Amino acid sequence: MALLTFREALGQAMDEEMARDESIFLMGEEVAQYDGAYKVSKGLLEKYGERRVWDSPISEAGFAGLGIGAALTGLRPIIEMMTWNFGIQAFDQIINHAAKMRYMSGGQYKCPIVFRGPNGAAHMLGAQHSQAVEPMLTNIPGLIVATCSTPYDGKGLLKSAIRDDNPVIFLESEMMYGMKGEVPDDEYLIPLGEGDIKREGTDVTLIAWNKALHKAAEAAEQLAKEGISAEVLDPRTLQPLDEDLIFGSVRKTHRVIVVEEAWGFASLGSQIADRIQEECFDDLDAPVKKVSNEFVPMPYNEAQEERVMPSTERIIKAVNEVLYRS
Amino acid sequence: MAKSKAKSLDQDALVDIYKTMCLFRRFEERVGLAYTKRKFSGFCHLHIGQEGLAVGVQSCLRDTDYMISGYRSHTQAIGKGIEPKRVMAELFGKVEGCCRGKGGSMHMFSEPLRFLGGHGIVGGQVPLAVGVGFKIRYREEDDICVCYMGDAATNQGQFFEAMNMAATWDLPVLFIVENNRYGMGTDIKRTTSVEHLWKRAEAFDMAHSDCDGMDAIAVHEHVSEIVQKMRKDKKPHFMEALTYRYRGHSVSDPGTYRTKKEVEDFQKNKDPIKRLGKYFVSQKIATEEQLKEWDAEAKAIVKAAEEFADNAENPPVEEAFDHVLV
Amino acid sequence: MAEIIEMPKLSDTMEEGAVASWLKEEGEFIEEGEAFVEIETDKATMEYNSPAEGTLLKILVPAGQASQLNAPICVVGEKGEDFDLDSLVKASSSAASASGHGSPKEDEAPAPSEPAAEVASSAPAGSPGGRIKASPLAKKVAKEKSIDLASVAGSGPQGRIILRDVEGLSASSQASAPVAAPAPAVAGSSDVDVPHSMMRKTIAKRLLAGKNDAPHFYLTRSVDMTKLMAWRKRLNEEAANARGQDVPKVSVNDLIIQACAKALKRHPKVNASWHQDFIRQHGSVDISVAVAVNDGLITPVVHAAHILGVRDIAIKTKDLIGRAKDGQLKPEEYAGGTFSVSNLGMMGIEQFTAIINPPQAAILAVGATVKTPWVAEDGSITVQPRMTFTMSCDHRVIDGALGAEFLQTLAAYIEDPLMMLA
Repeated sequence: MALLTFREALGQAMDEEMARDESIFLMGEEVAQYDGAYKVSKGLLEKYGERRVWDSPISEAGFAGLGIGAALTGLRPIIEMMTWNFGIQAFDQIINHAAKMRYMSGGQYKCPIVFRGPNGAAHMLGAQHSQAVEPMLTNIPGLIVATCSTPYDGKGLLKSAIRDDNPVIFLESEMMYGMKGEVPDDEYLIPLGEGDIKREGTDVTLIAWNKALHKAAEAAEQLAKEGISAEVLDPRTLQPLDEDLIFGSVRKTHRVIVVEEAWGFASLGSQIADRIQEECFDDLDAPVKKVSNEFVPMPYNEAQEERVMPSTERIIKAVNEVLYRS
Repeated sequence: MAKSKAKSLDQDALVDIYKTMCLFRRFEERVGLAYTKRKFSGFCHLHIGQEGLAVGVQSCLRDTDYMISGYRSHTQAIGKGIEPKRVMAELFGKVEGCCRGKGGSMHMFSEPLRFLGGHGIVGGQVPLAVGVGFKIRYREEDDICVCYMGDAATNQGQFFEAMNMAATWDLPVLFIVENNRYGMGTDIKRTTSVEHLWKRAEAFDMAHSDCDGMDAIAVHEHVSEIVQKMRKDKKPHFMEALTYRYRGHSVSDPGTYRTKKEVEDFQKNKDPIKRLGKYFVSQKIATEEQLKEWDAEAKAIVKAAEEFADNAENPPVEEAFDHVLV
Repeated sequence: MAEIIEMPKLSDTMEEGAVASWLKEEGEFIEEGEAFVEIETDKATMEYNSPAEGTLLKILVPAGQASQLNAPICVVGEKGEDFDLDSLVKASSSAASASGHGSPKEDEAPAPSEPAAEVASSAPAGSPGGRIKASPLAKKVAKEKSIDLASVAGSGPQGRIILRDVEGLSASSQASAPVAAPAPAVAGSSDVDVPHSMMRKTIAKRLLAGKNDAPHFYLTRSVDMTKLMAWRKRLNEEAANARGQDVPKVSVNDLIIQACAKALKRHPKVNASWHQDFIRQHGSVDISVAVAVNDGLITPVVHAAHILGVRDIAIKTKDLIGRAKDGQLKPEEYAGGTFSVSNLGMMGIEQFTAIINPPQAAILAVGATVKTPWVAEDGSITVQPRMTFTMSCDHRVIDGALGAEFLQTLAAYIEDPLMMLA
């Protein structure tokens, strides 16, 4: 076991996969000579050379499309979006092209490509740099959407994403790149589509992913002191969702809070709540609650930003509500 | 008609070009008719008038070259090798269509024949073509990728992004603008800063040219040279072909944005089939009777294609759930 | 919107009224404040001025007929309007109980708005006629336990019944709950207000009503347990030696159940229940046995105990008690007893009185068997294992002498079990 930062774990995933499969190349803004805007691709240019590690122009739609064309003809591109805020420029390519090629060709083409980069508000970056794309991209059939909350998960999932024959959206977090976690020395994979119970509990299930998972975990810790046993569930893959894991947890705890650092209107949290009410109706002792971003563009001011994003206080308040505690 | 240039083609090849143009013309006429008979629905963009370009370009390619196009691409797909009956069946949404009825008029694909699709988002296919070019470079092959687009695509942002990457990285893509003068119902003069679209390439320091797209032989001669050059220098080329479509933008277009006289002038004086037929007769390559015979052959093929499509099965409804992901 | 007009209270002593005559016919328009019906009260026949405006859509109480106060007498609304009489009646009756009725002039009460907080804290969620709000899980649990949600008070928002409101309940605890559940926990030295669980509310309601309705009296006596204990010893020795055969061990309680059953068969007037117009003597002796379960109490029934041998009773009670503790009883297994036995003897209680489990007429409270010095008729003193029991009787059904005779028989059976065969 080694204690790695998130960026190191993700970098290792790409490194190992590029070493394993020569058809993999990495392209994105600043990924080569600069070692990546967040240093996730550090050392890859040096190791794999200019043929396989490409600094792109600031043309997200362009190089996303380039990746898709290459994927359709046999390569396995990793396309880094410096952040998913810029990735929105590439939505036409991702949604209209990557997600549709296999379907419209009647199953002839496959599109093995990973679009990866940090997602969600970081800290005081203002409204344009604080987007959350998971509600938008999980709504597209033909895409797999994965995310991660620990270096261990990040590495294992990214490796699976790179090996998958479908377009995979891989969501990271600027705020977590420096976070450290145990990562095994031996190679391992975490399959796409499998969630993980990060903390067992019996009174309420907190569903969260990416950076928000840590807020949920913190809330669970505080609740434990008050005698409330909260289960913390990380779906890890957001499309397709590990519904069995979610339903199993709901049937155990009977109460659910979805914590998402995204806007809650027609969001992934809405989807999870919908599926739970459909499949676990008779197991619910309270309505499913969401703790999402408040419905305003992300403010710049620090206190305002904190107010708008989910907080442990808001999570605990929601837990108290579903437990009918006053 | 540049008589001298035609000498580079042997007589069989010349006849083949003529026959293929007849096939394309009769095919598209039949498609238009089938549409009005409600044999299928949706959007339907016909290529009538622009056959000379499609046939001329195709005559310069080899099987391993790639092709990608926009939404006016029935004939290009047939040119690349997809059987007319498969294209017709796809139009009719049948399981024996080239995409099992999942693509339709705008989305013909063949993975084995390296036809990467008709695409429905104006300009969206251009970055994909660059990706194919990237793959060719990555694998150090000497194939090329032909990327068709309409005149209006040159005003899309993605076009510029893709052109820049192709030129910067020397990716062997032959960009062909089919300039039929109208972007849907808008004269390009009203929307475009340059009269000659090849000038767009100058911005990227990319090789460029233009040719008469209404003359199949001229196209053949011109594109042959380009392709030979590209196989050697592996660089992109941008070609503007002046063409004219006789029919509306789509089947439902009344064509009020142009005069009847303009259309008639092209049909009478510049029609690619008539011009080549006259040339054949004058050069005693064929008699009027032979021309009629070849046309009748084309009609027979198209009739058979339609019968095939008529009699083909619809895909099982449940197949709607297939081909979403690998 | 169609609405109901109800029988008004037109005198302060009026308890029911009759429609003397309708001044309007169906289809006619009634103005607010206009006299539209004549009501015969206990004192006079009076015109009633309409509390609402609209077309008289339907007369529910024809002239000459009486009805209770607040019962619907007609429907008014838009001409030609479709309406659902049932739901209107339901809505109106819940409004009536929520708001009460004043004098006719004050009767123009606003549409009933539910006093949410009050419902949550005091009334059952199924407030009269209204929709029962319960979480899906609470509904499922209630269904499994055959709990009637209408009698459960919800502690969630707007009176929603949630899991904790039904968790500790069972149908029988709802129906009988003859003894109190454990007291609420009190933490530290400061006062803690523990909200009533539904079980507590049910116990409070039912036992209060039971005790008030049934005039209790109590008969206590003690019996010599020597022979019964000896018999039990023999039975259980036999059971221990019965290799390979499933012979059950017999408890003191099983023996007492059998003795009661036999005694009841001889005194059918005790195996009876009070009804409005008659006393029913039950053909079968079905004995409810009080069983403490987690956080509550349930009373499974040994049906037809009078025809069962004591080992059959032992098999039956063992099965019932086991499944009662697992919450696996079926509703029919804890419904329909004709007499109850409650035994706290194993917990050292020597004597106590129990509250009758309505509609039964009696309950036997069984104490511990204790070695007691006993003065025999000849004046000699012996030490005997003696047990004291107290029967609570509903005086409407059982008079003192009848009860005493029954206990005499019971005592005889216990003191000399062979007598049961006589």
